[in-house]
Amino acid sequence: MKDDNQDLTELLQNDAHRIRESEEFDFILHQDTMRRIRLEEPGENRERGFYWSPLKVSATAAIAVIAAVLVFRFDEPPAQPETKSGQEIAQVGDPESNSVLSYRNAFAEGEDVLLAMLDQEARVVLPRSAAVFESNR
Amino acid sequence: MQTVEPPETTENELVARAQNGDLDAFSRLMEGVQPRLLSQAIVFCQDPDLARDLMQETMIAAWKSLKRFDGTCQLFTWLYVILQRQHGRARGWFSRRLPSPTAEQILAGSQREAAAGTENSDFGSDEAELVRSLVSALPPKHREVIRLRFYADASEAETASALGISVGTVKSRLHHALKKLQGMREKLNLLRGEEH
Repeated sequence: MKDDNQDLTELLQNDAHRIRESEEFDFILHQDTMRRIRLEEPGENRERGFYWSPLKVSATAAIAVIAAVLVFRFDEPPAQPETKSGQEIAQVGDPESNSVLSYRNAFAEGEDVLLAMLDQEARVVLPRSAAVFESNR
Repeated sequence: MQTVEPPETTENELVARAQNGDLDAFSRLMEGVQPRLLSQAIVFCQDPDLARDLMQETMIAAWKSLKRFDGTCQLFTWLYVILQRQHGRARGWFSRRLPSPTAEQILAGSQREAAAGTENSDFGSDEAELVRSLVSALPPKHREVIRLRFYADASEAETASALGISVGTVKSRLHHALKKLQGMREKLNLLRGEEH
C-alpha cells in the first residue's frame, strides 16, 4: 500500500510540476484587475462625483416631506382665541344699543316693569351679589 | 533627511504595506504570483477565458480580505484557497451538488482526449492527467487538501493554517484522500484490463 501511495504521490507531484507556471504573466489581465479594484475602492467612488444611493434617495424624500408640511403649516393664518371684547360686554348692558321702543313700551306698562327690565340688563355685566342690587331686594 | 529604499523589497514587506492599503504594493505582489495562480485557474476551469475571470475575482477577494492574512502560510497557499473557493462559488449551488464523475466516466473522458490525439503526449503525462481527473472527483474536503498539499506545494502546517483546521485533521484527510484515489485508480486499471 505504501508503494502504491508513493507511486500515486509521484504522479501528483509530476502533474503539479507540469502545471506549475505553464502560463506567462498576463499584463492585460493584471491591469484590468487593478483597475477594477481601484474603482471598487470607496475613495475612488468619491472622486467620481455624487451618485444616488437608495439611502440618499430615502433621506432626500423624507426631508422634502418635512419641508412641505412646515411650509403649508405656516401659510395658514394663526387661529384667534374666542374671547369677548370689553365693547361686546358693554353693548349688552348699554341702553343706547337696545331699541328705544322697548324702553318706551316698558315705561308704558309701568314703572315697575321698566325698573325690572333695567335691573335684568344690569345683571349681565354686574354680578348678582353687587351692592347696587341690594336696595332693590 | 532622505530615506533610501532597499533595492529588493521582500514579500513580507509588500504584504505589510498592502495590508495598510498600499495598492501598488498589492499590485507588485500579484505580479509575482499571477502566472502560477493562473495556471491553476486554467486547470480548475478547463477554459482560459473562464480562468481569467476566476483569477480576477480571486485577486479582488484577496485585496478585500488581505488584512486577515496572518503570514502563518505562504501568500500563494492563502491565495490558492481563495481561488478554490471562488471557483466553487462560480460553479453555483446546483453544479456543486452534481454527483462526482464515476471511474467509468473518467476513463471514457481520458480515452476521448487520447483519441482526439496529442502526438506529443507521453504515457507519464496521460497518467498524470488521469490522476488529476480523479482528484476532481474526490469529495470537496479531500480534494482541497490534496490540491493544497501537491499542487500548491504547501506543508501540512501551512495547509492546516490556510484551511483553519488542525494539522491532525490535515493528516487524516490526506490519508483518506490518497486511499480513495488509490481505490479509484485500481478500479480504472481493472476497467482498462477488461477492455484490452
